Amino acid sequence: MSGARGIVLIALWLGAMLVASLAEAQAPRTPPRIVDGPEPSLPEGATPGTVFLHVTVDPDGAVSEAHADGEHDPVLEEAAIAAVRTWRFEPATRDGAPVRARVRVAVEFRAPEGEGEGEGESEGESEGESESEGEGEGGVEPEVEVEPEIYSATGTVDPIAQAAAPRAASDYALPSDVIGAAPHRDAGDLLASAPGVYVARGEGDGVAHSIFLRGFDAEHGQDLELTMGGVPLNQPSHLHGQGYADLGFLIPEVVQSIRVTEGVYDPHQGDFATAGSIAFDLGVERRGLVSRTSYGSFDTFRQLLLWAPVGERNGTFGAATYRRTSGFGVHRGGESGSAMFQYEAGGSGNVRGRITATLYGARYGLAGILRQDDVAAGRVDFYGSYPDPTAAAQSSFAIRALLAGSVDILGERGSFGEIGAWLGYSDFRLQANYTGYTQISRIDPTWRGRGDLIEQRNAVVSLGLRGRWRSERYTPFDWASVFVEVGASGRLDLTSQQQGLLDAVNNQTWDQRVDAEIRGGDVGGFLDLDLHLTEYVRLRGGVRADVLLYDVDDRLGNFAPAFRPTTFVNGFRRTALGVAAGPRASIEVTPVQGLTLSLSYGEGYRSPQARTLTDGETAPFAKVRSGDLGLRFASGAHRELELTVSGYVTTLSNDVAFDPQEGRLESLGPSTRLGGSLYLVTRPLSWLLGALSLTYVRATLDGPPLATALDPAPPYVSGQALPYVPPIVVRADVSANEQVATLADLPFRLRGGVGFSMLGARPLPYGDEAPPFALLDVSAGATWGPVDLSLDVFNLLDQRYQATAYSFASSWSPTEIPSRVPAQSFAAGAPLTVMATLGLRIE
Amino acid sequence: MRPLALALFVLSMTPGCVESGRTRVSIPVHGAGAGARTFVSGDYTVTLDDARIAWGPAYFCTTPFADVDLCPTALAEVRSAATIDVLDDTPQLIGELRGISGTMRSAMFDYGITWLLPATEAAPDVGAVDGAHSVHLAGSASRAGVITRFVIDVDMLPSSSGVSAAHGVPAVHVLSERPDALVVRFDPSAILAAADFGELAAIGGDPVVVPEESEIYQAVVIALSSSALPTLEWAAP
Repeated sequence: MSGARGIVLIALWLGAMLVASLAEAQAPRTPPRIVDGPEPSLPEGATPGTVFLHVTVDPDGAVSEAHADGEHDPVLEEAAIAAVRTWRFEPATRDGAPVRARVRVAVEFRAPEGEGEGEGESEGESEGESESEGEGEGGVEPEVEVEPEIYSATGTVDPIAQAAAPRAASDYALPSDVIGAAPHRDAGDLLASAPGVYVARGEGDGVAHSIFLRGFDAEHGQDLELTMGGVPLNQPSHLHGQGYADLGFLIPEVVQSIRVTEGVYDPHQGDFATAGSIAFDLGVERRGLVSRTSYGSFDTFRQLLLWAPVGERNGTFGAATYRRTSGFGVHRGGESGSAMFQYEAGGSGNVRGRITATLYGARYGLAGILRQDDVAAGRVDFYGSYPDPTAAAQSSFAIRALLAGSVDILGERGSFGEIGAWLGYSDFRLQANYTGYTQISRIDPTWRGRGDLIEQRNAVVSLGLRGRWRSERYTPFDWASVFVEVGASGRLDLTSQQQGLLDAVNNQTWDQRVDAEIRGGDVGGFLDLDLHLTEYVRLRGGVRADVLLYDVDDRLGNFAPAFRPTTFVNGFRRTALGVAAGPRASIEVTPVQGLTLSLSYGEGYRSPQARTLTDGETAPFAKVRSGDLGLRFASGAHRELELTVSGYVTTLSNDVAFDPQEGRLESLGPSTRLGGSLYLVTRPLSWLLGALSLTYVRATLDGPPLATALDPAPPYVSGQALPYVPPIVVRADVSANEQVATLADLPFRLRGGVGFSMLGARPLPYGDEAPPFALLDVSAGATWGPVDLSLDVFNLLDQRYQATAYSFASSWSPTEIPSRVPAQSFAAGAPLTVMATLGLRIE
Repeated sequence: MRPLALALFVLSMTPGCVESGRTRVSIPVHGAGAGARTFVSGDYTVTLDDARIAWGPAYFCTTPFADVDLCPTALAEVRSAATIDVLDDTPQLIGELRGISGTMRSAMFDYGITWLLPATEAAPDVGAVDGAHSVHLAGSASRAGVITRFVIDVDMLPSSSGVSAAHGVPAVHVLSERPDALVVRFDPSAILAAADFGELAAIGGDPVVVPEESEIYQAVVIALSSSALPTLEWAAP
């Protein structure tokens, strides 16, 4: 620990910094005293400095309010506030009775010895050492002095956070002030604030978000490695879509930060990291008990209860939500509930532990996908659903439970070890009709015309393990040092999946398409080097390899209809094994402080849909090669300006796209993406934030499936624009948040936020194109002491837009001559939506 | 803001330059007759006074053999039926073909009677002949000075739901954006070429109403199913 630590000096002036408005008679006679204060950490990449805070200590010793006194580096400010909120005080007293008091705290962040920018002997070392020796378990010990009393504590740079530093220009860490700037509908929608990301929920609130990321139609997660606290969220070989990851269980209020790595450059990135990786970090900065009650458009009600015990680390909380809605339009109503609990222990010691548990359930209706010509002709409303029993029967159902635990062991000079395990269960059931009345039963071809209501079920039990060890810093030369990290991960998924066609009127299954049991395993390992060459150059990289194993019991394999004479029974069992390996490397050059140039390259993979494998197939992986060149620039003592510019190229050996005939993803062949991105964050004033991202990509299909006798003119040709992918994504987030007054001894804050999203025209199959659109979301809120009132308005301009768009053949009027020509179709995005929220906080 | 807007506009146009080679196409469909009103069929000289045939709906496929199983997605379609006066060789507008540019290889179509996929039986479309039939032929057959007037109303019934009455019809054509039109042309003499008009005397009546059980009726069904399919002519209007 001594080799990897920083010094945080906290000075607390008691009494003297009470607000001037307090009358002398109201001043506490004895000031608050810290009794428990977990160590804060110097954020990775932050410039050392001092943050001054005004802290309100309640009569119960909890911190009820903490805000900056003056302008500071927002990253440091955020870390300081987060730390102070977890502290426990002995309250101030007046006439022997505990009273609320306001004190001023100074948190000084220093670069640690032998780490980061403060490598080598630190001037503050002796002070830090002496303070460290004087610490108790809590990391904070009062140091008696004449007024003002000064309290001090030591802190370290978190080596795990340091190891997770960005590796490419397109590796974005979205802090809470950015993701919280504009209103968001749910946790998945938080991703909209990331550069190049478009998020839609066209299949209703019970189905995973569709995520588009700089040239990738990642669908429900097929091209994105999604993790929560290191636990993978993607489900391999999911029937509805490879890598299906439903973020519905995530409660947005407990998402502390999001890291969006666009591309694959890091040996830690595993399966599905073809477009990149998204990591949710859970935590609650502001401690206390919170109730938030929301009600708004479409009879939508949401209740949140959040408990973040004071004195515990940010990562310790419990939260539960319930939501119900009638939904916009028709057939979009439903209910959901989620509970999340996390406990972090050992904040100041060398051993830290974390346990996370989640439970989620949802059932929602689906309005379905509409033909554009039907809407234009007035046969169905833009927000409506086809007046047909098979359309009315569309719904989704989801259950997910997750239990995860991990232990971190911090060693000397930046070394650490981490080991974790998780156990998950999920059940997914979908009834969706994409094509109306076009299907014919494969069991008996005379069974036809009973509605193409696809019924999918996918149930998974998953078990995973992970571990890694990072060495201490080796310094063979004065100008060179290196960390070595090795790690391994493994998961086992037991999947049961069925798909058939359902007669909605009679509730009869009239065709079977899938009935399979899949046992899948993924065992991976990686080597990662972190080489520092002088203070200007940092070289990182290594190699990752994964062994994937599958045992498929395809009960409908070799399916033969009952009327056809056969010499075999239905069913086809097979096994397959393959290895996916690839290098990842990045080089960063920092010619001047604040400016970092980077060049990154990596090879990643997406595992196959197990049911498509043949027996003994060895290397059925979709391989991605990703290159990124760019710069990151931060200016100003308070990071008033952060700019990231990047250019990238990505090739994928086998892309996939949604096939409405089967309601799942099918192969498209190799594809290439070439594009660039600009991301700008400005904090011109302490209370004002603006973020803007512009992303452009030219995504093309390189070799779509060849024409066959059965399909002489397939929908895709080589060189055409990749379907469904928006070539242009623009996003802006603006927020203002400031305390404007003190009323009745309670702070009064006002805040406002704006989110703007623009999507360029999206190419579709058969030369069609989905129209571009722009959306504006706004929010306004006021907080007075424990009471918070906010108003969120989504799609303020009430734009009619196609959240997801397609082109395929469908026929929805069983009494009219059917259509067999592909028609442009879409799932409507939500119209103007207003939600009012009343929040109460007890700290 | 103007330079930024201009840049975004230019960028947004760039992906559109990557052509998929596909465009939406819509062209008129005409029906017409071919051949003479009077013709010889076997020993008979046949003169038609009224000859109307319903055509549609129709689907044009990229596959070599269009049928319900081999052509789940069509390249183009005519989603209506209309009656054609096949004694008039002047093209009559009967509908619109809508589809996607590309090469079609085969077609399947009905003659005004369609068996919809969810239905339990076939039913005439509004464009059926007299709202009820696929074919209406009325005229006379003469041999050795004996003239027999006849009337035939034929229903071309699909074999099962979702199936077209005529399928696998060769229709090789490159559908494109250029001005184009489809002319569906029937030759009534070919349709009646295999009919044995000697059967009329046995049936009796004046005019003789040809029943479904007759060989003449079946000859017409076979002709419109295979041997005397309409020709599909593609030409600028």
